[in-house]
Amino acid sequence: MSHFAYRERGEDLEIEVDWVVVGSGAGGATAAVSLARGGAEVALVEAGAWRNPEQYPKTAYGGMRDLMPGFGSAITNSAAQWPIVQGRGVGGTTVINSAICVRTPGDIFAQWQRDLGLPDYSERIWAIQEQLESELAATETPLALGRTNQLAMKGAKALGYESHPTTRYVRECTGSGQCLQGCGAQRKQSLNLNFVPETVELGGTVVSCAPVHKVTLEGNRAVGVTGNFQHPRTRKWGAKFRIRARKGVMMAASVLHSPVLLLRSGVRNKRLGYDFRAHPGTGIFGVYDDIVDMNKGATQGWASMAYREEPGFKLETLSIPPELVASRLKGGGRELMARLGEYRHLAMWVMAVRAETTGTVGRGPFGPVVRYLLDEADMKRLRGGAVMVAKTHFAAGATHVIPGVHGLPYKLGRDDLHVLENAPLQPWHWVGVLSHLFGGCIMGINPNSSVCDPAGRVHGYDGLIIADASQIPTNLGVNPQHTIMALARLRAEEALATA
Amino acid sequence: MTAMMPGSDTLPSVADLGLVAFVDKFWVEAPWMFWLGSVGSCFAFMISPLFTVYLPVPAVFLSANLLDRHASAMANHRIYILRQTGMMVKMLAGLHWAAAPEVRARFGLVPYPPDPDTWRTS
Repeated sequence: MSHFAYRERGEDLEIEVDWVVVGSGAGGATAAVSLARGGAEVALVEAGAWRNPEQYPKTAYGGMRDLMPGFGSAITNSAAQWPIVQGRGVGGTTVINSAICVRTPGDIFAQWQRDLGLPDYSERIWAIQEQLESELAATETPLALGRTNQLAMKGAKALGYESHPTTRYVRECTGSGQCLQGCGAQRKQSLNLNFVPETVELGGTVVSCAPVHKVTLEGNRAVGVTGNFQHPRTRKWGAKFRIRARKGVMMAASVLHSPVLLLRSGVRNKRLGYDFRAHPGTGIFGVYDDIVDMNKGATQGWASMAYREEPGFKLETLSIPPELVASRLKGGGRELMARLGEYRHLAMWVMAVRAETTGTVGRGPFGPVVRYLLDEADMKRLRGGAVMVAKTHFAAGATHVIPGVHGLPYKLGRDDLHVLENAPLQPWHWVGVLSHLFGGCIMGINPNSSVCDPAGRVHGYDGLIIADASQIPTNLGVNPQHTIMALARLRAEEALATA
Repeated sequence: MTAMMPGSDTLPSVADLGLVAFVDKFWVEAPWMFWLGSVGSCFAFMISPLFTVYLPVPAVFLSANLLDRHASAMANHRIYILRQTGMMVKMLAGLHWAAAPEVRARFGLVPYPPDPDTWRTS
């Protein structure tokens, strides 16, 4: 078996395997390699292209063009249009994230048992996570990699709250600051570099540049997928592909695409596309007297979970590329140019809310439509997190912070924190972003309130299993890649045991 | 885009960094939805001086000072959708401007090598 990329019209592809896995991100690649290791014949189907590290773009423009769906144009379709961060391509979002590795907190399993009647996954998930940490070289980020990370640690220490260098799937990080455009230094263990090639080595097939149009259903049984190849540059539609699955289809097309694909395929479940959740967040710049050069060093080398449970947010460093700093600073014209003159003195740290707000993912004429608008309680959490980031900047020695909130002054000094504490709570005043998506095909025991059962099987269908973050029914409050991969491996092991 | 990032004493204007070639490339490479949003934002920027500097003329007819005030007002406008269009124009300008070797040098960063624009075909 091998890899099939874009094919022109007339060069249709038809293959038959045991399992089709739709999507090659954290869930899909992990499910595929786990099935292949178990002796199954697998086809891994991915909408985007397969790029090796030497083929990664370097610029932010190239990153949006090559590694994100629709040029990174996914936004919430609500009163506040917040961007939604997602990757596209073999490896999915693991190519463009910072590969932060956090074990699923125990309170999540307790919540799933208590509120949703799900079984206790904790021992199995943690055992799988231990395996994954070893396979993907989960390593603590050396704080020497980046002054912005050192400053954040200093600020948290001064304020007396817990924080730590991030643990990431990275082998000997060189601090190139290129996590978000794909690690050209080949240090980050995105799954296009390990699990996907291993799947091929074990006899699997990768079909890239191949957006799945429909899951093929015979009665209530999933028997394969169909679609057309799409050219990665011109977006021209090419040949058809039909992949038949002898045993079943695993959906791992992402929180945005798995529900929409199932809806398009005629799967009937009234909760499909509901219970969408995310980690909405915002960034606060600190302005320092000394040069920080935030784009030198690890992109996200520091984090704190001190406020994860109460009031419900996490803190991280995040060094966005200078191209995005230009649009993130307020103002335009000469005032913007003057502000950009301070670039080397800026450090951006972010907070993300463990939000309780839920939204929906639905079918639109041009792709998934996300309706999601933070409620007042979550906006208060967001504002509280922003205040904590600002305090941490000041404790680390910043002279000012730049909150980027409409209606507030461009810069706030140490004595102006009350201004941020009383910032407006309407989401459209804030420059927010949604990362870490959950739900849309959530698991549960009741078919009236969930899409799939505790083993990921879509209620009422055979051979149709959810293996990505869309099955996660609650907000984790931690970076989800480790949980997504562990759940995907669990789904694969269960499928191998029962098929 | 030129109005949004006109340059300063220490930083170059986006207009001096091969903006036309970038725009040509963007029109070819962007998906049509993104293209439509970008063109719509630029159009909104062009026709909205009435809401910013209170003159019923397209932005192209504004003096340098008024155009600068217009750019600033669009980016800070109290009406969300106008602010968002200003943000879109600024983002496009920023994507090109901050990737330029001259700007990266000012920021203490090495120049970007060219984006490969290739992928695995087998």
